[in-house]
Amino acid sequence: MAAADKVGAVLIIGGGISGMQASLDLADSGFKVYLLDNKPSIGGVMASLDKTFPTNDCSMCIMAPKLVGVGRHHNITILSYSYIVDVEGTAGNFRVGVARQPRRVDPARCTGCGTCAQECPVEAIDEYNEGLTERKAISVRYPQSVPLLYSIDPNKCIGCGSCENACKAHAVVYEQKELEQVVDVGSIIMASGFEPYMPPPNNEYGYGVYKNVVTSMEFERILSATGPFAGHVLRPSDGKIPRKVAFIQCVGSRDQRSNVFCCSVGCMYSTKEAIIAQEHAPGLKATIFFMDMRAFGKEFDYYYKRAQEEYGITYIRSRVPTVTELPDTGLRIKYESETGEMKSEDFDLVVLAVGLSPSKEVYLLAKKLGVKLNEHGFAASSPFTPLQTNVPGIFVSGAVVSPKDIPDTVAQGSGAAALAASTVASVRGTLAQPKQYPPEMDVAGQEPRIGVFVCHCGINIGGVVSVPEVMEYAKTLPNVVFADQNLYTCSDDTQKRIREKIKEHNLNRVIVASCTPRTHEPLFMDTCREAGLNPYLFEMANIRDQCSWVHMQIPKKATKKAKDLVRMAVAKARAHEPLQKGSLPMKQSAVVIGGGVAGMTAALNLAEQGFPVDLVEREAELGGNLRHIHYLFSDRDDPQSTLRSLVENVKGQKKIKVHLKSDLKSIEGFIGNYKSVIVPAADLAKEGAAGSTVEHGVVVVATGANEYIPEEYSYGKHAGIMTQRQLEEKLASGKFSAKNVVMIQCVGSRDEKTPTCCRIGCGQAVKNALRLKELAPATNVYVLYKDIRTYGLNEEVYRKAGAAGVVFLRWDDARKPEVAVDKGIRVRVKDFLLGKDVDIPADALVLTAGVRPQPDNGRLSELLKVPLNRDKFFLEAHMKLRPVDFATEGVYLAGMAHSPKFLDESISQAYGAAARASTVLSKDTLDIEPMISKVIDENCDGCAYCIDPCPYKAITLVEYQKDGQTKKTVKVNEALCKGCGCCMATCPKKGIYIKRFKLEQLGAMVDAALESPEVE
Amino acid sequence: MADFEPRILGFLCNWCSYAGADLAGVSRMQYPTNLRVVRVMCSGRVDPVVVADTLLKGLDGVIVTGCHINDCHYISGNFHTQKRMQLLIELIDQTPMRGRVRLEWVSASEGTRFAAVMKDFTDTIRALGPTPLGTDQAARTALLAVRDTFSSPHLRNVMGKYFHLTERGTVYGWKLEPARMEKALREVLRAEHARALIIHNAGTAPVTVPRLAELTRIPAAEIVRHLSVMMKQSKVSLAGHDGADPLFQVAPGAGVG
Repeated sequence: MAAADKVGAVLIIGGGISGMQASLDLADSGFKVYLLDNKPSIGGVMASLDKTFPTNDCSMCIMAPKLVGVGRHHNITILSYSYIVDVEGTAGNFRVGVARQPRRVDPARCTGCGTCAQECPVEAIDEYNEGLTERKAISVRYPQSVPLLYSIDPNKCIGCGSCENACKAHAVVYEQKELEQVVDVGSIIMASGFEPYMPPPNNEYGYGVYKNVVTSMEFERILSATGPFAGHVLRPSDGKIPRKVAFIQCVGSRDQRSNVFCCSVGCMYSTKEAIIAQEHAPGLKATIFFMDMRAFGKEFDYYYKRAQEEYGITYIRSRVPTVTELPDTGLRIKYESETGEMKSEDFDLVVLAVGLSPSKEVYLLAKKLGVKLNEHGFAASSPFTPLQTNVPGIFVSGAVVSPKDIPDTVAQGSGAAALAASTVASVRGTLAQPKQYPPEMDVAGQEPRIGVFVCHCGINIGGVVSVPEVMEYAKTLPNVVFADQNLYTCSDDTQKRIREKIKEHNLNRVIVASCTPRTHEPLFMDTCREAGLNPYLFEMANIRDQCSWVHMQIPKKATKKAKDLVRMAVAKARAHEPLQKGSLPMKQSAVVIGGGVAGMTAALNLAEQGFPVDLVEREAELGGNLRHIHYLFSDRDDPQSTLRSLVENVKGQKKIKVHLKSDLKSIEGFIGNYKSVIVPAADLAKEGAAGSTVEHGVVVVATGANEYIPEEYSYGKHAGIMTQRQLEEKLASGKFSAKNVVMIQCVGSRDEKTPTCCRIGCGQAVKNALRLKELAPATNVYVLYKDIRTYGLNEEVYRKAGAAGVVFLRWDDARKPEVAVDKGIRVRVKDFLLGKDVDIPADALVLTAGVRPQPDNGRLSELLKVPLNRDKFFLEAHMKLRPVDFATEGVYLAGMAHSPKFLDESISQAYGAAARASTVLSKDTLDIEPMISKVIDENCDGCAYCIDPCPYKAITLVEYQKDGQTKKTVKVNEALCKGCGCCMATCPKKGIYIKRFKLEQLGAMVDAALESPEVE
Repeated sequence: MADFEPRILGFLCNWCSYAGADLAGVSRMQYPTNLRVVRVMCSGRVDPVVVADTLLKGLDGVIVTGCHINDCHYISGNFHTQKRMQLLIELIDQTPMRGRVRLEWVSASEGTRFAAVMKDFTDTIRALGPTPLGTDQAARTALLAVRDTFSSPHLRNVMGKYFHLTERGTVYGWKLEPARMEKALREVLRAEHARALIIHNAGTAPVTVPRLAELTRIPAAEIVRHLSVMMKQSKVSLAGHDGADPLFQVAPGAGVG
């Protein structure tokens, strides 16, 4: 297709965390984005979560910046409450019909103030709180909703007219109709997520009948501070605090009757909910009934261990056939223990850890898009193309592909963005345009001339605070030359008025006293800019969220406080200075370290997006660990031939320069401006070894990991003892025959020395066990395991292995398998079901060896100034929401260097890293946020105390010649500083400060707070 | 006292606590009007000296709120806050200003908690009554000493490095055990506080060791050791004798304020 026919826009279906991430990455890389969600607001399932494992981060806290970022991005159009009607066209040029359901509220007028809901007399079931409480018939889904627009529930509205009457903005439109529109896009991402499994009527656990049997999603809301009980753990039947809470795992997972696959997250979310419940209600005891504990992700086993040792959470390996209700609405759980005994225990509350089902709408959606689904109802994908569908130009990410946790979902969101971008890379920047502003007025050195705009916010402020009084008071404050009151300061007509008043009164400072700067400051700053005023001369006073709304019964005091807040804002604004965004030139090219599948995938995608790449590989050939993988779960895939074509593609790609047998010797610089020296790997230790110098803008770390070389179980002492990888090579070359094969899991994983899970070992074992059975069905295969962790859709392979006659026997740390070697090999293990030891003679003993980080990670981590975790894998910027970023901007991470993972996960991350990198590479200059640290050289004596506290390593000590003497001082790297101010709180000399939050500004605000006359 | 309306200043971090305060509003959680908020991007930028200065200016109470530990938008900013505020509050609580500074973690989803914390803190300050600084010179002296303690470059240096040395590592490559770090920090704090107390209690006339011990309630033997160091720093000098007791003179401007 000619570039002229391509459309530089992308449609993303689904506004959950994956879709939001894809939207931000694409919009930041020069593409127009349409983000469609069938709900009235975006945010997806993550908006309903209380905390997230394994860090117990508050879900809303970490997600809110992305929510606001999406809501405000000038290149993202949110199509909320909408669905796809039809799709025409091909990759590069799709024409999509979209229908917007009627909110019955005009989005152009609604300010989200909420007066309508206060007036609405009709209550409806609150879906956001899983039906545990009520909302109004006119509502927003959750308080932080984006877009913050109310909508009327047509099933509940009785048409009384109260909301229309209450709405001062005249936003209620009862007769609003469904609206159809057409969007033209070049590629499409399907990120429509999953649905929590809902137990059917007459289920064995009494859900829907017994009030105190709740799903994990309901319990999540019960735990949440914004939930039905404000974070108090109460049971629904009588509001009592439960003392004993049980979690039943795998409800709607690993079950022939519902979903055969594993939900991937239940073990961890139940552990999290148990921990949080115990923290919320001291004395509460949690018990988890489970089959296998699948703590397979990065740092998950530490979390599982803490839950047991620190919190005393009880884990019972069992199967639960029934739950019955007791007369006091308590519940009796009947369970079968591992040894086959039937037991029972009583609880006050039972939580069903429900699985992740494909969403119901996905069938219809997939049909419209022409996308194939697999037999489970997830988008069909393959390990080498995990984010591609059968339709070119349509990509998938997140739980629509398979059940997965948040970081994998986010990585895939970025990954799909990379693929969507490469489809339309030739038309980058054609539809997403930077906004144009008039030239800025020079106000430097002028006496402050302040305009204050006080907002009524309908009756939200004006109903409590006397707005006219505050406005009149504002006029008396120093340097205030104009004050105004507005019904809605954020409405379009008031924006126009503000621009006019800036001109009319020569205002050089603007203050809006209204809601919160967290949501509205960017809007008003933009208005200033549109009037030619530097946006950093704007200030806000929060007289709604933090005044009228929290002091509703005491209008006089609230009015006085509003005056104080305006006075404090004036005091701060007087000391504002115009600030300019800095700009640095960018090197629009990348260095990718590591030529395995992750490195090659990232390099290829970046090259296809038009960015030159230097790919550095230590070994003599490309391929990394993939060179040792000969078959996958399905026969459809041929890893070695795929590897060959991947290597050919890399070598044939003109924009990629491959450096074999090479390594990174040194790197200096920062985002956008790196200078690296690449030397022959053999010369790495040599001083002054000759190498090539490369200038580049970003770095991708994809250095992989290694299989552990076992020291246990007589490895190396008998030809019949091998690792899974060695078995696989033998099977592939046809050089293996054995009658009895024993596999031992967790060799060099989940033990004292290496407490974490290798993630891939269970998958490797069932894959090879099944292959043994397929090649020679008479082979006896025994897998000795601690937990079988075949998470997600891999559960199917486990099931197949069991059906093929592979015998699974469990052991635990108290009784490890014993291996005796003489002529043959004998393995002794305790069979829990029989309750006695069994001896298995083995022709071959296969050790499922763990994964080890690259020994060189320490050196690389120092070189790049990025951290490692306690297991010596690279540590990303945030374990949940920034899985492929480092805290240091411009450095990205993919594949096993991050932690052990399967092929498809490494590839997804590699695309993800490429997308993150292209948000930087797509710009020819790098914008520098001005609200960052500034050094006052006269005050700085170079003591360097500020260097270590800096979370971003943005400060360095420098020396220069001043008046014939060497002076030490610190220098802030503006590309790295984020403006937290830890430096400022450490500096003993007032030698460094944060712009817009200067010490004298804080002081002026404190003084202004004190000027307050005593409260009447 | 019943009519007393405390004047309270809150330093709220932008990402969690300020958002939590907004959510309290969205949820219409009611709390007293006494709080005046200064928004900062990160609680890690709240300097204990700024908090002490705020009290010295005459506020009745100061509350600092940030993200829960591990939730910091700036990775590790609130670790610094935690350490600095913990130490500041320890010293404040040894003065007549006891109970007037508080540190709380409030997340973006804890609107209810924000309102409860503010109500509780307002009640606490209301019960404590107006700041004694106007009438009680000893309180002012004690607070000035606290303020100067936290102005000390040594203390600021060690506080600032706490996270780095215990979590990232020392110049030797290994991580400093928190117990050792804590011990080192406590030693600096104790010494700097003692020296600030000496400076602010000594007055303008020369003073003896027993008199300093009485004023500062620090054992004489410790006073002597501090004076020895302070003489090297030119913060005090010998100024004659009073019988067997040498007289010490604090240099003008030895204290920061």
